[in-house]
Amino acid sequence: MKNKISGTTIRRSNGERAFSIFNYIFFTVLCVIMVYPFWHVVMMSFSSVEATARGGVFLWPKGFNLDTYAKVFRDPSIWTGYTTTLLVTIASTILGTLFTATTAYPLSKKDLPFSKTLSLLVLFTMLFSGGMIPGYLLMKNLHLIDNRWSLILPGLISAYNVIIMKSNFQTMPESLEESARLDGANDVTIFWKIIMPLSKATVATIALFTAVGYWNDYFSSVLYINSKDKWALQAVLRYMLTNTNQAMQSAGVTVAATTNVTAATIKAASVVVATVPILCVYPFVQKYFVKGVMIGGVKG
Amino acid sequence: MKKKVVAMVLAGTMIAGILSGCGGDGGANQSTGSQNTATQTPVSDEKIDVLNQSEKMKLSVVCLQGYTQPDSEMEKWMEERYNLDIEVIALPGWSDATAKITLLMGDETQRPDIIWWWNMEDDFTKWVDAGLLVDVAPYMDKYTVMRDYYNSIDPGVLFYASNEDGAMYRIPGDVAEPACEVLWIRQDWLDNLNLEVPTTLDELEACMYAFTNDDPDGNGIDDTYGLSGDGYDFRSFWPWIQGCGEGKGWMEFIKDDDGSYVYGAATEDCKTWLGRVAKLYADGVIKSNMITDTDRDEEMANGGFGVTYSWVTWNNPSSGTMQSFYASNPGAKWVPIDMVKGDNDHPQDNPASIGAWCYFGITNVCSDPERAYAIFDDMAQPENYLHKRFGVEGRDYIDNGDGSYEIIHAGDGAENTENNYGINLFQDLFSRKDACNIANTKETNDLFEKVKESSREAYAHKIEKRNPAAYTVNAELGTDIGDMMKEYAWGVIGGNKSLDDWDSYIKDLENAGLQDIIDELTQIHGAQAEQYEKYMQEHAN
Repeated sequence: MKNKISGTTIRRSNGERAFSIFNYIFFTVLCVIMVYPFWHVVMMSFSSVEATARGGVFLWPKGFNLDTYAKVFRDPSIWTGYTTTLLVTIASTILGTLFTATTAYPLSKKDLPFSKTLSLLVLFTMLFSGGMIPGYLLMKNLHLIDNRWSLILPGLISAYNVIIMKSNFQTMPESLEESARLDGANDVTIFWKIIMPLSKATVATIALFTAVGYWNDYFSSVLYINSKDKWALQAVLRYMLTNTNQAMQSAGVTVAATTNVTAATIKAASVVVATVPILCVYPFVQKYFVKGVMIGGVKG
Repeated sequence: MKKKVVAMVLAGTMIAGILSGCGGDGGANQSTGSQNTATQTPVSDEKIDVLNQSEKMKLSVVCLQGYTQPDSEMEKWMEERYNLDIEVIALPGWSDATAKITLLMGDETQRPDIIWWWNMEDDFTKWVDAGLLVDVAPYMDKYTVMRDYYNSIDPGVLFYASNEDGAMYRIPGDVAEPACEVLWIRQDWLDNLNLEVPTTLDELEACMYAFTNDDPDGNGIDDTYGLSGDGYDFRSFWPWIQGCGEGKGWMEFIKDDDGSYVYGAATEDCKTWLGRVAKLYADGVIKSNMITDTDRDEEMANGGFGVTYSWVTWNNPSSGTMQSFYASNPGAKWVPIDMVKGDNDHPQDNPASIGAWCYFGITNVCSDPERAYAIFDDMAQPENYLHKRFGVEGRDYIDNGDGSYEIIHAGDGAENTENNYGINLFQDLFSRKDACNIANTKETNDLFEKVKESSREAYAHKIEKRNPAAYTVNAELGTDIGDMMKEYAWGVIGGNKSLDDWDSYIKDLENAGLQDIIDELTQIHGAQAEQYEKYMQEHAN
């Protein structure tokens, strides 16, 4: 165990090596503890009825089959759920990131009149909110009940994200803007052509936070949506998980005695179907993610 | 200066945005306050012909179970038949449904024409007081299909749905059969171990020990249990509850033979059955997860045990739960058996409530409440109910002509959802348990009849409340007492608490106000019993 630094090697003490070994073991175990439950569900969703009934550890599918997925995808509410969730997530991510940036940018300017008061107002919403009923009444007064915009608008700007973004903008050297102004750029040009391109990491992080938040949101559907064909995917999934028999029936279990499906496999497949798409987003923003979070963490 | 103006506008906008969340509150008060009394048009003697209405009526209906996808074939059939524009408002699952129902009822602009609910007694009282629900009693006298059906089951159903003054703001949505659970045993395991069907509690326990220890499935692995079922639910132990002592160890308040009220969970009978079940659990005869909140259908589908006390409907070939079980246990055979005798020599099955477990009501926003009621009453007619519940004959079910039926697309099958047939639309907004429930085979109907007969003695002890909201002492103290009881009883079963602490447990219950609840029961339920007798005399025929 030697680290090479600039062509030289540093001999590590026994204590340091023991600490490293402990770290590797500890974090490997921690990783397994966190990853295995999800892995278990994925493998169970591909397993046979007999294997899931026996239970136990699922490192690989036992009695591999895709029957459960075939049944889950025959449920039309999964598809309407996907439609709503994709629409809401895409719209909210674009609009949420845009509005967060445009709110944070002026707040990051020291010469903004009443900047402290305005920042305090933003901060206030982190600590206090109107609650469920005022939120519902607001949507009602805006005539957005049973409208997909009611799933998008309430959480579009998060104070937490505004603060992260504001902290990021405050790290930008003022000389950049000054030189741009000397070249004739106005505020909008500076924001779009200079500030935003330099904030890719933070923007990507905020976009990811927003996308995950909206993807996982089920309660807005509960509150604001009356028609089942407008429910978000998570509301559909929750309905399926809490109404197992109903879910089994919807998937045709009652009419197919020999079908290779049980409530357990239906639940597992539903979890996978609802989780995997958003997991696919992570690799694309991972390179920005750590950097973006660090900016918020250090400066926020 | 320009910057300051922009900043002021920005600040103003933000403050308005924050305050707007509270701004709507007044509106809510306004809308609720304007509806202190339900506006009800006097009912004429002339019946509405729901099949020949020229004016299209909007009808929004809240439902949870059954088919909930919009624009189904069944929905269109109803729209065409009754000239309706139906909006199905699906509740988002059991756990969030009450919140959604409260929101819908609290907002006049979103309030549905037909609301469905369960277990919301306090809310129901508030809705009635605020005039949000329409009294359907006059309609019941004109359109009699639902009324006659419920009276044919038991006139008590409508007694519990009505107010003391005879008004009826809720229509029973689904009423369970008089008893709907039976004792099940694995016949194939009995055969493998050369055991007889048990007839006594002792014999039942002996079978359970054999199922646990003697490898009844012959796979050479110690993977079987005697008993399983609904976890964290005392009903799973009903054979012991009814069989120990006088059979009064129910985990609820009961009416004793002399008319007095007692808390079953504080009786010596309860202590006896808890002791027996705790021993079985400690010996590994009862599946260990029964002290957690497991689902009986999932447990049955997974199998691995030989005795359970559960639904009669599992006897139907179309039961999804049993189909799942048999799919993975092809050689197995579950059979329902007679309740075993205990100490008291009066084996009893678990009686269900006469009162409905869920209700639906017509709200004050409904443009024509009488027409809405008449539509649901027409839908309750046997031929229409059969169509709504089981679909099209020949396509979704086959009538064998001998009183038996073959279900092709049971309930919400895959073909139902794929083709948007809408079979089983509005499942819990009136549900028939008579011959119209063709999912039941003749054997299942006979089984229902048998458990009904064998549960009547026990039913005499059951307490049903017409107006649970009137029991204010119970509302204040009952939850704590119930929690104490559950903590102690499940602790004893799981081995974490001892029966030696029984006296201390009883003292805790008494200190928590047990006698106050009993006094209230004696006063209010005692008076209700007189009203019930009077009502039954008036409606017996």
